[in-house]
Amino acid sequence: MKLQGIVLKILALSLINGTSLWAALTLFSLENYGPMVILLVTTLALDFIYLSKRTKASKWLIPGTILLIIFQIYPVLYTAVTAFTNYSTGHSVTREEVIDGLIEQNTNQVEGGAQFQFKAIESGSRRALLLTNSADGTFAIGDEKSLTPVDIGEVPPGWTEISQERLRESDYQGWLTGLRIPIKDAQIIKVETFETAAEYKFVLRYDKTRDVMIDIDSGKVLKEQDGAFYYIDGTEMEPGWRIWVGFQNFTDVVTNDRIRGPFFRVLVWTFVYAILSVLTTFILGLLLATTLNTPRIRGQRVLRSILIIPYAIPGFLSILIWAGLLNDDFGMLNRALGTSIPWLFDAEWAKVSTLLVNLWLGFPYMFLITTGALQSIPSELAEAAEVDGATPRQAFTKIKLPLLLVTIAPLLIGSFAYNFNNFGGIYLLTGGGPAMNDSDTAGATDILISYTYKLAFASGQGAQYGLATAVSIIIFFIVASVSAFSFRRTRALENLN
Amino acid sequence: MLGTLAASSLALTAIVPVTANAASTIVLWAGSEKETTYKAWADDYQKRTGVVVKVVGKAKLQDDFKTVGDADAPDIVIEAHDNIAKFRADNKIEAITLTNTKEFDKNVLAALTLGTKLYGVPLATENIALFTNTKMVPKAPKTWAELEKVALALAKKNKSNKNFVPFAVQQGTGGDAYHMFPFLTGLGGYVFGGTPGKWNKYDIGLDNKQFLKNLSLVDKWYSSGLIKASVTGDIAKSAFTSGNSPFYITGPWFLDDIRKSGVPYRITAVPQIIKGFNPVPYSGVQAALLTTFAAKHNVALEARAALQDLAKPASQLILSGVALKAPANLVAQKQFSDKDIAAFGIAGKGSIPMPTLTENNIMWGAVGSAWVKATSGSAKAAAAFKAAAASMRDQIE
Repeated sequence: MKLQGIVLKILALSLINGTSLWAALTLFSLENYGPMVILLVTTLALDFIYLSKRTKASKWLIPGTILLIIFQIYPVLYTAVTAFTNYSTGHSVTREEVIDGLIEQNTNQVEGGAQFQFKAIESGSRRALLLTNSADGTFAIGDEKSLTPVDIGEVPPGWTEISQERLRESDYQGWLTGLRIPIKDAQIIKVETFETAAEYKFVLRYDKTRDVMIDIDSGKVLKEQDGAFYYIDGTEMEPGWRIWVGFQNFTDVVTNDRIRGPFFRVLVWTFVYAILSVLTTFILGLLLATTLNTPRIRGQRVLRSILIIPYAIPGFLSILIWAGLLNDDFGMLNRALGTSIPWLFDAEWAKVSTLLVNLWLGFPYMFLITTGALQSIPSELAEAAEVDGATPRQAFTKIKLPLLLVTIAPLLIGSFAYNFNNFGGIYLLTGGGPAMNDSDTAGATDILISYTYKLAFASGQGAQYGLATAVSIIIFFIVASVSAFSFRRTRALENLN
Repeated sequence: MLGTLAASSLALTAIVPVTANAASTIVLWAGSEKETTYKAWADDYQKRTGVVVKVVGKAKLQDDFKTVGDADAPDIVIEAHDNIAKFRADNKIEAITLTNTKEFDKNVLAALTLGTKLYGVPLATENIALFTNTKMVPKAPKTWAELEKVALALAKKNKSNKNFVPFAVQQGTGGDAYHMFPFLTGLGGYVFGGTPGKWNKYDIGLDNKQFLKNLSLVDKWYSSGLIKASVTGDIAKSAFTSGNSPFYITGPWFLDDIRKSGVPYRITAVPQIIKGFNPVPYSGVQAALLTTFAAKHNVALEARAALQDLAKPASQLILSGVALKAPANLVAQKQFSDKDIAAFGIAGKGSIPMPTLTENNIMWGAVGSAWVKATSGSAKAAAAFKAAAASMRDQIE
């Protein structure tokens, strides 16, 4: 290898090694050992691949593979795993965090309890607070283990006061925030600001042996069930935590009335929308392509350029503008036509609107690809058909169209898959609405993916990630099977060539 | 080869700075339009105490807050009060104590209370009110019936003007329960029963007899063309600022634009529709919340001190000076001198704080669609709200 090449390679590898060593050290300090090991192993593998003379193929494949794993495989696996949990608002953290959080949030200031001012003191590795009771001026020294009254309010010998600046440091501040000085029973002294503290008491206690939470004052027991603690009378104590629920999210789609009702309606409309979108755009695109393909038309280039403008304008912009144009009282379309059609307010008209807007957006693409495909059909075939006595229509349907479909069919399948998940086309135009006359999250024009989005972020019970990821996986299987099936069928077309 | 490699790697690691016990910074998240407002306070706070507050403006604050990891998470979050139940359910915010609670209105504190604990510092209160074009409507109508007559007469006079909107209140296909709320209260309905801080999600007042009877007025409003769902936010605002609408319901966020447009205006409450019921809007309290991440970052005490500072009148005046909103602190309010904001306060008298339940989304969706159905002709108002009540009860288990 040339010298420059070697130098560059060493620089690049050094950079990668340096960065991952630093990252590994950080992970080590955060006690995140799993990712640290993966990182080190990957780095060593990279070093080996790029330094060895035998691994030529891997040198080309590795960068792409790493990106594939990080941006495709990992998110897919994470989604799949989430579908088997009840991850949602009210169930988004771990059980330990919930127990700690519940105990912490239910620590109340004792009414009429003592207030203190304090100086923080330390001796070697030991730290404590020198407390002054605001009411009666008595002094005490307290740490996590005990509270001892003292006579003199001075820093004891062998101890030094911690200054206010040092207290603000991460380490000391963390200690102050977590400090609980025990008094008696369930009462403690807790720090409130950098100079004051007060008496608090715990309301809840976690009993590890029986695995329940206990309300200290009333003695009520809270048992856990389905990822939350419940009182005996059935009231839930929020928040809950994330648990595995197996296939419950998937079965919910079929059994839960509230989800099943809209799910199948939305599924049907998604298929209708995708199929009709592909059909209408293809027919219009093909029509325009064949018309403009004849050499008799003048200004072909100008016309072609104008026709692909809808494709060139960013979809987000044009869909939002269409939403304004389709307003039934103030929109351009109704004014130009002199009608008052409720384009976006009536369920059926809204569906028509989404198809019309998608037609406007999509036909240039079909126009372009069919023009290309038409021009690749050798003209001898058309002449031969004419000689054989075929009408123009027969020439088209029996000769041109099948040859066209050989090239276009995969693109049509791709277009179907795209429109099946065309979130922008639906959500930006109608928001999935208008609302149906039942209690659904799904509106009249919602397709599966916009319905999933509503479930994930905008549903009534807050976000429901578990359910939304389950629906995403179902969508994936639907699209994958339709695509696989269609690709198999199009193989038959290839025999024509 | 390997030797040089090892050497260069180690050399690079040595350059990387060591993250030791650095002085703490507090991270504050606010909506991107509020970034300059809070930076003004943060700079002042740093001058006074030396504590650095890093203000980060977020375009999609709620989405980011839901999914952010511990390292990048904020310690303080500025949000509307109706989100606290959601955040609490996700264990993302902590209760706080303030030493100057006497300086705040009872209802405002109640709006930020869950159970017995306060979860945020009230910073500013806002509510919508009725803007009237004083050139078109020189005398303020005393009742809704009067207003209706004036609006429809103007509509008749301006029949040829296709952009004329007799009464501009924004809805659109998605509906807008927030802007239509004065009509809901003015017609005798309520959404959730109970009082602020103690909302009863099982008591839904969308189908009580009184309200359903009065809803026949809404059908009249639609058929006469007074209130239509096709009026979106953009259409409503441009209609009023270009003199094509005599009445406009909106909040203080567009006050600047209305002033710039030169349209002469007055700000009042929506006039009484039915005797015995006051058409009051929702009040939103903008609050500073303490996140559970502050404790994880070891800056909890620092953050609590910053929140206590935000509750002081001086800090609230700094915020209101930049953002043109009425400060929540009553002492600061007395010193705040914008006439229009004062008018908003008067128009918002008796306003109801938005409920703080995790089920809020159900409410916005159901009530919003009911209004859209009633004002776009797809259903009679009474039927639409009965369906909305049933839908809400169904979704709230």
